[in-house]
Amino acid sequence: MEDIRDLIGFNVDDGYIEALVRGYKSSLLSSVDYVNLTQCETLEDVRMHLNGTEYSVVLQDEPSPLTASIIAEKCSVKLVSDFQYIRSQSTNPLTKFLDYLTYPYMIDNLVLLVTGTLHERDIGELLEKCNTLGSFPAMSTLSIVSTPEELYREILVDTPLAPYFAECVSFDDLTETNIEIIRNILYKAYLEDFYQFCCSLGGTTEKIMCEILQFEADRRIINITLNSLGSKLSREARENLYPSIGSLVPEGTLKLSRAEDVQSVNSVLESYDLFRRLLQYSTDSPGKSLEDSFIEYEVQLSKKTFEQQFHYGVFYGFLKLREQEIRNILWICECISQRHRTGIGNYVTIF
Amino acid sequence: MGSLCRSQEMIKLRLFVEKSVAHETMVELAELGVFQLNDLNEEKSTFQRTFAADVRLCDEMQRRLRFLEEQVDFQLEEQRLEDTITVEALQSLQLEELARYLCDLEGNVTEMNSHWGALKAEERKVAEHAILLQAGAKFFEDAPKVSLSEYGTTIMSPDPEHRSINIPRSSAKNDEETTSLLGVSKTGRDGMEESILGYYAGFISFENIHPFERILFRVSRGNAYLRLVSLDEISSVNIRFEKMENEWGRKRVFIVFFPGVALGTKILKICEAFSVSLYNLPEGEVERYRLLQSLEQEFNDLQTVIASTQSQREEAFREIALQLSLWKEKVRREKTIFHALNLLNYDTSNNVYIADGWCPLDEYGNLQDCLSRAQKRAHAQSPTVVEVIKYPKDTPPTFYKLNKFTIVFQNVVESYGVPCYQELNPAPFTIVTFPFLFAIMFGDIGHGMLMTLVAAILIFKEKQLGGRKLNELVQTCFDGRYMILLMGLFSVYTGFIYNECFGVSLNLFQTRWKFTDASSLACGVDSCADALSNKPPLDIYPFGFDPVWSRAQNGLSFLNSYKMKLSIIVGVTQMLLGIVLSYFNASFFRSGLDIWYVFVPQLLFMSCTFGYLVLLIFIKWLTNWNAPSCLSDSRCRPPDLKNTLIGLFMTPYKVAEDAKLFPFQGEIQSVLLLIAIVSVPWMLLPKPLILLYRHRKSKIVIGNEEQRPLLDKELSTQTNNHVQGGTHSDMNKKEEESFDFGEVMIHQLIHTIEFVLGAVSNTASYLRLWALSLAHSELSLVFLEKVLYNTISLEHPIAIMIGFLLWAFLTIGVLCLMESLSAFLHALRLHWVEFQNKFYNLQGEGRKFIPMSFSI
Repeated sequence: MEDIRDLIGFNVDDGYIEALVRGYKSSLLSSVDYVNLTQCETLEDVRMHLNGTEYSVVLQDEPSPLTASIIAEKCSVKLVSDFQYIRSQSTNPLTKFLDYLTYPYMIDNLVLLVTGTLHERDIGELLEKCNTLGSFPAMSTLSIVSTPEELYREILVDTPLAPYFAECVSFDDLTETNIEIIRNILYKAYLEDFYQFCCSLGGTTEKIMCEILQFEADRRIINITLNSLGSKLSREARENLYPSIGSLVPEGTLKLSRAEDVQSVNSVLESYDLFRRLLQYSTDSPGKSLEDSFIEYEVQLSKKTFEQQFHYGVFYGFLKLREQEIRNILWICECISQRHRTGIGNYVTIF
Repeated sequence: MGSLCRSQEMIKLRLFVEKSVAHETMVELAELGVFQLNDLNEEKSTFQRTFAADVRLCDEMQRRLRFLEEQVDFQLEEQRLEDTITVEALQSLQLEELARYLCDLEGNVTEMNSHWGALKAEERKVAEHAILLQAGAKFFEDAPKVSLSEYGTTIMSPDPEHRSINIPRSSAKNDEETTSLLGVSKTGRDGMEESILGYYAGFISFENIHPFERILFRVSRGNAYLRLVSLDEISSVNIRFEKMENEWGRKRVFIVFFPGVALGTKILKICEAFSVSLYNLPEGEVERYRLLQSLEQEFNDLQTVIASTQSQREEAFREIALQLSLWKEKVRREKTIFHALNLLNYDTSNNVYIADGWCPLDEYGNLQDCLSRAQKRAHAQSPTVVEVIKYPKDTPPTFYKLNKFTIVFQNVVESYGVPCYQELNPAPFTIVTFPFLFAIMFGDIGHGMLMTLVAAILIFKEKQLGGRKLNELVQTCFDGRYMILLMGLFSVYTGFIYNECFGVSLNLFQTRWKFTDASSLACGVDSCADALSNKPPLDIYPFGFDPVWSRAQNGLSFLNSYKMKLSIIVGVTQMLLGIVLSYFNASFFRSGLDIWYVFVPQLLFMSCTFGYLVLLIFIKWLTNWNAPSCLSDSRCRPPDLKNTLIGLFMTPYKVAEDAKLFPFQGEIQSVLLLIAIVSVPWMLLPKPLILLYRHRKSKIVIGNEEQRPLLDKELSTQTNNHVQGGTHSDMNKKEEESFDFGEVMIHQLIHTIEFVLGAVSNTASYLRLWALSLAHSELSLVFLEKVLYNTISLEHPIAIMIGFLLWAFLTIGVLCLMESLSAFLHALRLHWVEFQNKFYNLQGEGRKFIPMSFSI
């Protein structure tokens, strides 16, 4: 029934923007482009090749000499401007959905800034490193806070992250471990909230986004577990960081929270079809970690969003694919500038 | 016209160019613009090619030029003149020198800009500080007074709107009864040790005010006091501020008061975060005044420096502006050259570049001239060798020599598809048929004249409008001006035939009918002796329709009958022309198969069915149904041709006696139908079967050594075909290489079905000529009667004026613009689909000739 509602009503508000995104998607670099890029000798060659793509607009007026980071930065400028254009064209609930997509960047920026301030780095320098998609008001004043409570009261209260922060206010001070925990708690709260939101949208969006978000949650659960092995984090504290959604909940999370080493984690994952395959894949192909297989699976999921119409998943998919593309370009550029020829093929082909 | 029917003959050339001459040769060739280079390095990506570095250099130079242009446009207010660029100037310019020069120039400009920026920043700082001092004076004048009470120090705001702040008594260190609160604090930016309240003063940009205020409130928990002064309030501020606001955006002076040092450092950080500029604001009036004095002195000094720098800059930029367009053109040309050079192959053993490409046969001489010119200019030792490749493997590109008149029609044809090499081009036929079909639908003297007028204006102003960039709609009309002219003229002609001018029938030659009292029906003027018999006139109206028809009751059905028949005649004629043209294509490409098994049955089918219908129409028109012999004969009645046509298919041998148009009609019809039926399998079967047979035979031939001579013969015929025209023999060759009978059969089946069904549906499709023409004349009649005549009958001047305006608007807007657009589209469709699908672009493999050239 809801599918029919999508069919009839989707284009009224969101048809144009979906069309835009599909247009953007068709401008993603193809495998031929990547092969050509890997053959480049210098970054100037890279620019020459990228001049034949969508990126020509942002790259052509950049004075030489180029660096890998400049290229990647300029490419993200393109992504950000595309995204902001879409965002400005959208109406609710799509606007809200798109806002949700920017929250992870906000969390990342927040953590980056707080960690940076902790190490007394220059705020201007830190701000440059922040992702523009996740900028929030008062970002630049973040250096004035010294406790989580101040952080909440002075900075975050204005941002959409405020409700996620509730649990963290009780921390005493901002140490590195605490920041990491804060990040995970924020992310957990965000994932659960976004999941709820997608469920409330219903229809195809719900089907597609919930699958993606469950995978995202699973991935976080596994990563948290792997990263906290051998740390002082208690079982309860670890379990507390797990998002309450995903295919691992509740049995898998229970077992994972007890895991002591990598073997036990793997044995838990073995009982899930998807993760068994991903584990298998990472062990089969040399030089690929579990994280790499996660990334590739994420790309697969993002590509899959374009196979159906009338849903919001395409916006998520496009953002992820573009991001991956920029990471690929950065990787290739780094390999070229550091004359690291052997590893240049380790990008994730998208199309 | 001959050159337009078939595309220019092309020859494939291979040039062996000495390394040192390559560049010059390309320059000359691009100047001439008749040589299309083939890519000999297809396997290489852009940056692997020989001249990738040069292309990159050009890219870099173009970037620098864009940068300079931006700067120049930004700096110089006057419009840059588009000066003419001479070839000599371009040639005297050396690319490497230019590159170096541009590099230096960019450096200089950047340096100049940063110097300028620093100066401006200094100016801003001084100006802001001065303004702040003046605004500060206001702060202190309006400062609230402090009274000490039991509970603490209360700041009594002079302005009731401002909230008052309670400061706990313990923090107040002074004991005076009441004093100016601000007077107490011995502050500056750093000296807050002794004060209860510290303050910072500075400038904040307009859009940051609210976030700034909010975060101040949060951080200080309401204990900081922010005072904003909009600069309008500072009446004493001199005019400099106006200028400042234009240059640096809207800003506000603020002053923030706060208790405690800890909060002070925090607020300082916040100020930094908002990139607020803070300035020293001494509290004492004398100090302030002194500071202001020195600032003003400094400002005046700065102004002189700025003015002189400004003039220097303008000088520099003007110099750049003069040459900018020349440089741009130079770099663009060089880039074209390097792109062309990248297509060449380098022969390392002989140190020559090999270029491969197509050239029109006519231009071969010019090409050789230009090669020798290039050779002379570059002082080459050995001349460029030109080799004509006799039997090229690939199809030559299609190239027509067009002028400003024919190009429109060629574009119309090519929007459907680019013709294959030397294929018969429909464009010359289109020049006449297109405006004519349009005019059949748009026939009206008045509207046609308006259209002709518009086209004439466009053509008259051709030189003026030609170079300019026009708005898209105007541009479309301008490009099609000659077509519009023809359409207008043809519409005037058909308008005379329909006898309509803005919907009114003209009585140019005196109507040949008259109404008498004797009968309600009219009779011919010259045969009205017996009015009751209503005889038609003996001497008919010389041209077009008699105006009497427009008022006659049966006028509409008379016109409809005429226009319907006209549509069929025009349609069938045009389709037959299309079929005949397919013969010329087939005979040109020496494809007997296509003549005997495609063209002949198609022609027979079409002429035996709908050709016959046209014949019937003419017979019916030519018969005098009012002749006495016919009137007396009960069997002599005008038959309904629709029924006759249906009868042709249902019962061809049986024609009702009163529907016969000529003797032995039934027998002849039977024969015609038989021919039509036979031609269907004739179209369908022989061609694929013969192809299959030939394929088998050629296989046997190749398999048998002894029959070698036969093979040679076949080869020689093939090469012969090659010379005549590549396309078709190529097709044959491909077919021979991989012959799939099923595919060929299905292809032929589709073609046959399409043709047979198409014969019916396409003929019906031409009836749109009648429908559109009917719609046009009825619409103009409605507008005329309902809008213009009705308002005129009111006999009120204003009503007539409004009525006329409305009518004029509707005539121009609906009839001349919208109707003409729809008639245009229908004419387009009739050409693309009904006409061209009979013969044109059946392979769809044509590609355009794109010569290397400097022109855009």
